[in-house]
Amino acid sequence: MPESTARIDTRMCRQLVSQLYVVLRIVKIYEPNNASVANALSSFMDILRSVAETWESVNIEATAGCLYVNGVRLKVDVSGYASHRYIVEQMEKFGLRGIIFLNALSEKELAAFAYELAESDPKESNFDELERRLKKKGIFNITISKASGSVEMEEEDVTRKAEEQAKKTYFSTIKIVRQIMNSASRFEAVKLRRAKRAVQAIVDSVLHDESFLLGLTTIKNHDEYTFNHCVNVCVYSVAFGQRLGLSKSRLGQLGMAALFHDLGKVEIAWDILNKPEGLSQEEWELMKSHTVQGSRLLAKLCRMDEQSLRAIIVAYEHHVNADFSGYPSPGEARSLDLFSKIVRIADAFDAMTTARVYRMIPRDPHDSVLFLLKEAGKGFDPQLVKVFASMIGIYPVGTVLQLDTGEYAVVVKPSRDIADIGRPFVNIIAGSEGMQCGGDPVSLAEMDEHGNYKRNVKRVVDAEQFGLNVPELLLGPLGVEPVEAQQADS
Amino acid sequence: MYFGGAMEEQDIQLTRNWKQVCEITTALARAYKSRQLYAANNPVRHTSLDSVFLALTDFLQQNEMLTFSVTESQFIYYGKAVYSNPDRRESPVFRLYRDGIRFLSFHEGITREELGELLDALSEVSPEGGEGDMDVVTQIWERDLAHITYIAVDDCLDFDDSELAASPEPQSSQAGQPSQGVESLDVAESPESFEPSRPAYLPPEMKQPTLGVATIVDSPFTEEERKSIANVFLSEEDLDEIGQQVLTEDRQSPREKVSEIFLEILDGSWGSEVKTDVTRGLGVLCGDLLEDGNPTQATKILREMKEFASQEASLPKDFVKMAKNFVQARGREGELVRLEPRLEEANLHELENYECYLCELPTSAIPQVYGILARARGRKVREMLCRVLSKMAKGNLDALADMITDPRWYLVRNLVTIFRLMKDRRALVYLEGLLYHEETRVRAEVVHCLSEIGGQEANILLCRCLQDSEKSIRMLAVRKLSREREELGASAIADSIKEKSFRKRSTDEKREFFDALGRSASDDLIPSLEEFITKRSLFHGPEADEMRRFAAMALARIGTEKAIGLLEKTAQSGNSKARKYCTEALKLYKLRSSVQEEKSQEHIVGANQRSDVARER
Repeated sequence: MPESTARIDTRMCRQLVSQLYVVLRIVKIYEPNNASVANALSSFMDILRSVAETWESVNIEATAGCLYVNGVRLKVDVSGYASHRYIVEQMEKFGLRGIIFLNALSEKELAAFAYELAESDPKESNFDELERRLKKKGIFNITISKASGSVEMEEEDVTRKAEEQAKKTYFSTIKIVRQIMNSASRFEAVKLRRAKRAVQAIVDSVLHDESFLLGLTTIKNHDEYTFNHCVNVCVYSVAFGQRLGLSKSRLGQLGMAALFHDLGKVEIAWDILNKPEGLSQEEWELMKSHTVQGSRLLAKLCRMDEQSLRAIIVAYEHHVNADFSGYPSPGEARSLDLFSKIVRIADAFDAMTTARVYRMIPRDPHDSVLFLLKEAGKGFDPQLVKVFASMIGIYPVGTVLQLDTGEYAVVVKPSRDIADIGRPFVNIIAGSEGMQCGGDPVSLAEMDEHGNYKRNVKRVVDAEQFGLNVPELLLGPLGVEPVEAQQADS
Repeated sequence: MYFGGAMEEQDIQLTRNWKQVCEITTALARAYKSRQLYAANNPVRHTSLDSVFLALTDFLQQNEMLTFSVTESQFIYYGKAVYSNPDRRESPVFRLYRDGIRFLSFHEGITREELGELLDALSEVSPEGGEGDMDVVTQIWERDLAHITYIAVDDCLDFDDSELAASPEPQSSQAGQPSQGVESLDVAESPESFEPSRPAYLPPEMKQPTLGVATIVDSPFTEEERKSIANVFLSEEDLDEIGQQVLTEDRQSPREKVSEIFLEILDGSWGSEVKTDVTRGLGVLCGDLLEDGNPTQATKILREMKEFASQEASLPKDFVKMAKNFVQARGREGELVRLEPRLEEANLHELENYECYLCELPTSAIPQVYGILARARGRKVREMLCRVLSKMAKGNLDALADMITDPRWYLVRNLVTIFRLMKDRRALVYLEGLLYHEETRVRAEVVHCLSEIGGQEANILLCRCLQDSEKSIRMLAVRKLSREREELGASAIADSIKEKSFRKRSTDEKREFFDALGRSASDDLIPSLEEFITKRSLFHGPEADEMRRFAAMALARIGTEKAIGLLEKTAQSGNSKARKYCTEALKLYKLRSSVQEEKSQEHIVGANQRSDVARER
């Protein structure tokens, strides 16, 4: 990573990356003589000139999922998330460490470069091949540098390793939450270090690729609902926080706060927590008290450092609605904490999509997202719920779809682009003849040569109705009994 | 087959590496130590960092990666100790080890900044270690160092190191991989057994989906759902709002918010267990807020708790007792000592906020606040603490009594200042004892204090100060007495002047005394003054002349008809010296009178002008 030796306008750099994203996307749709292409190229060149005023070249580098422009790391925020991720992914696919734009670059060369990338298949073109083709096309004012180490490892190996790590992290975190909540119920001092390491691992996984961990949240264990639920809320919250551009440190704190948002439930009797019928008024009051109990337990059992304080706030506020209904009602007018609002949404989503003893059939993930959107401004912060919906997608990970091609598919990853929010990445699980399929995920945003979508969603399918184990569809065999099997046994 | 050549070459390379790695780790330890000893801008820090950076990059150019394992006191490279330091407080190795790091790797491409960040991460954690945000692993993790990776264990106290010691080299992750080495989670607990794969076909229902089942969505979206989906798109205003929320969250300290939450809980009807824990938490927060430089919130907490403590009739007994204990606890030394460093750094506005907090403390905290006063260095801080003590000790002067005998004169002076601020006549009994304090500055403050308190008893004590051994005290006392314009003061001044020793005093002192006499005396003392001017037999030499002159000035100062008449008469007398000084005095009187008249004319004109302007408006 080159050291930055001059001040650089990071806002302009973010605009540069966004515009590069626009250029790379637009060349996939339009021919070179199209006005939209010309406009996109021209805008990019204008921004490039502004950024390059004091430099001989502008170097965009991708390392560990982060983008750097001339050595200065670009912070991701909600507005630039899609473009940032896209550029990182493209560079990783081609084994690129950096793309260097020299001052003498022309629009023509830029167009040639963009079209070359659009037409290349990363599976067939390695770095050397790509470099050779760029030189052959006379592109001398854009050079590319090779990512160190990554070409030696197959992309699949990297993904597999990351997925294994994410799985390990997920299950270990459930175990840690169980241990800590058991200690808390006995008023023993809580050793948070293990939980912190687990949350840090969750953050690392999410920063790399959130979709696998989000897939793990489809594991709904209603017997150990509380522990499972805490980890799921943690994963959702961290992924959410990443979208908002929170720093790594803040993501760690958010993760910890989300992990222990329901700590107060250790003070609620098991038969109330798991009562199948409706609660009496007294029981409901006891249930509501878990927010106060949680903040009290955190104050009692942990050090009052910044991390614990944020967890106390979330434990207390995570059932307060955006319109200040809910519980507990705030004494004087004050704003709700950002972390509380994030966890509120994540908590509600996971609760809705999990079978409970008083509601054996959970709400569909797709339906749950629509419910959150409907309740924006009342139950949930209106801006944040939009971000959550765009993160989860209208068809969240784990949703089973019937497509207009007759195929059946399970959603494995939401679309990065908010314009394609209804077109996630899916694994085709059954062809039109009912034969089980495999293969790599496909994007429902893929178009044919005529510019039409290759596949469209016909309907959402209730996985339970067909006895489908969604977690195993997504993640392969887990060794965890599916919810459906438990219900069938009972 | 002979492998000897290759093995020898490998051994040579390893030996060379060991030497290099020793140099690197020594330089690293040196750079770490320099961070503890020197300020950020000290060149020693920079040069020590440069040394380790150069050595490290040199090694990495040939070897791509450097990994060593971390024990309690050593860095180990290929089975050999390359650095050793058993001193737990000084050693960077122990800090890494204590917080769980067992392997540390540096990768090619490392920057100087990253190395600096690593050393900062080590330095920022206290030697005693941290459970919260401040452990080494978290500090390194948060810094996102792309070319420095580590392997940490969950809990170094519980972890069995022998498992890791068996493997010679760690499987540390590649540089640039985001999961940078937290391979610490309990591998053994991951699910080991797997169910066999599902059959390679799906139920027939999947070919022809059942219609009419409520859970199947008939069309992708309803109209309402379409509206909701359209609302997912974020507008510019949405983005601004989100940006603001993130920025606000970043800037806000959570302490204030948590204290508000705790006060809400205490205001509710929760059981005593909840309130006990929350009150304890508030106590910790209060101290932290003071240390953070937020006394305003701490003051709010204290006031609320005092409010709870006062509601004996309406609140449960145990909670009221808890609240009282809380208030008392805030006045303990362990609590107050935390805000001391903040006081010295505080500006005027901040000092006002601290003053508000300290004034809320119970009277039992007076000795502790006095202790802070004893240690305070800044003048503004001391003034503030004097004000605080004057309010705390109101009606309870005895709480300060012990401090009168403090051997530190500056504290005794501060005590007198406190009495001065209180203006409590009951302090006179203590002030009397201080009239003869050995330190002049204390006695001076006593004079100021007596003047502020006022009244006959205070004036009696002030009169005693006219006899002080120190000229500055006498002059100060006489000035204060003259402002009182009391007969008591005037007689005391006159008596002082009549003393034989008065003649030996300095000119300015004599002038001051006579002037004071002139300001405070009435016609009753004119005969005494006349005697000073005219009686020949008593006075000889320049001292006598001085006395005459100043006595004449005093008459001019008195300014009554009788006094001026005497001056005019003596100005015509046969006594040349008396004539001379009385003439001078008369001139001075006339000059003063005309100046006064001019001033009063100006005042009248000014007043007329202002009323004209007001009328015009």
